[in-house]
Amino acid sequence: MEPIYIKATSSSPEINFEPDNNVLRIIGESYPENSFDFYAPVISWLKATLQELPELTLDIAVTYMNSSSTKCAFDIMDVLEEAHWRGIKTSIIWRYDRENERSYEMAEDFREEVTFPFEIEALST
Amino acid sequence: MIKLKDMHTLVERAVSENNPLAPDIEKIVNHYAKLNRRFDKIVSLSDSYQSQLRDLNLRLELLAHTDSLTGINNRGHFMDLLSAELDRNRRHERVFSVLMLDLDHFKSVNDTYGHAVGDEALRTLPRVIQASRLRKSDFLGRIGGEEFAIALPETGIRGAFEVAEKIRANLERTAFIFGGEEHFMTASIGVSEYRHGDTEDTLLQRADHAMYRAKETGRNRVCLSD
Repeated sequence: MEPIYIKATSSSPEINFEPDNNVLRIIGESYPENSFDFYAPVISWLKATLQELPELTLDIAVTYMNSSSTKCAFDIMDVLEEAHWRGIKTSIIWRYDRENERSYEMAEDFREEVTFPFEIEALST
Repeated sequence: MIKLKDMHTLVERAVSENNPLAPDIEKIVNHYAKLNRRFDKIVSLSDSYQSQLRDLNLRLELLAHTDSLTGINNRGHFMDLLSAELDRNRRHERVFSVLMLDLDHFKSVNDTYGHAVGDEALRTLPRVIQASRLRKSDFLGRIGGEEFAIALPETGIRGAFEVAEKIRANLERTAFIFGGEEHFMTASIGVSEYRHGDTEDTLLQRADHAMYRAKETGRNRVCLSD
């Protein structure tokens, strides 16, 4: 299993897996031309990796998503949820923007979709 | 389109009729309900992100137009507004005037009392101006270190003189408090009225020359351009 790494662009986030603590980081803004093309390799990597690892944390700090990216975020969360039901220790750290009042509420909206641990933390500026 | 409510009814009926497909039907309906909810959520989250973006854009626009110290229009935006006003006047033969205002002895205030006092004077000035009978259509801008310009649409030179005099008098009387002390400021003001053929520069220049005359003839006064 290769740790995944995708460099950030002006319209897509950095995807970076840290094997030392089994953390998958998504950092930046997400509005690629085609989100499904962008996230497909991430999702297939995630599915394969969750067959091998006993645990994985998604640490996501994305300040803006277009609608298709939002859908892909849910798809990723579904993969983590499915692994959770298989006994894999999955969890999410969702980082929100303290300056923006709706940002926390939006994190809570995302949290409603999963049953495994979902922490909401402020973005460190 | 079958409503979700009707689908649930379908499931209940299938179960009560012991339909062998009942469990599968139930799975499909539940999945459909989940997709529906998920779809609504994606749409509403996307709307939130878009409002966020709009708010950020508004803030950026404001930042680009605003002088950071005083919060009023910066030079660039004032000149844009002036340009638009000039266009209007060219088309409709209206009357309008501008004031150029320069704080008196500003450099020595800074030197004697420090920049913090000078900054507070610069912040106080727009408040005094705005309290001096400005109309909604009037606009002002900080166009230099201690130089301010005020545009007065629908106002001829006589009316503009009255506004300028009011500002001058109010400023002279206004104590601004700093470090527990009262400070007072005065300003020299030049007035010019739009003439046929004026550009932003010619109009402001005339007001500027009048302002210089005000400085040279004693300060704390209003001079009209010829």
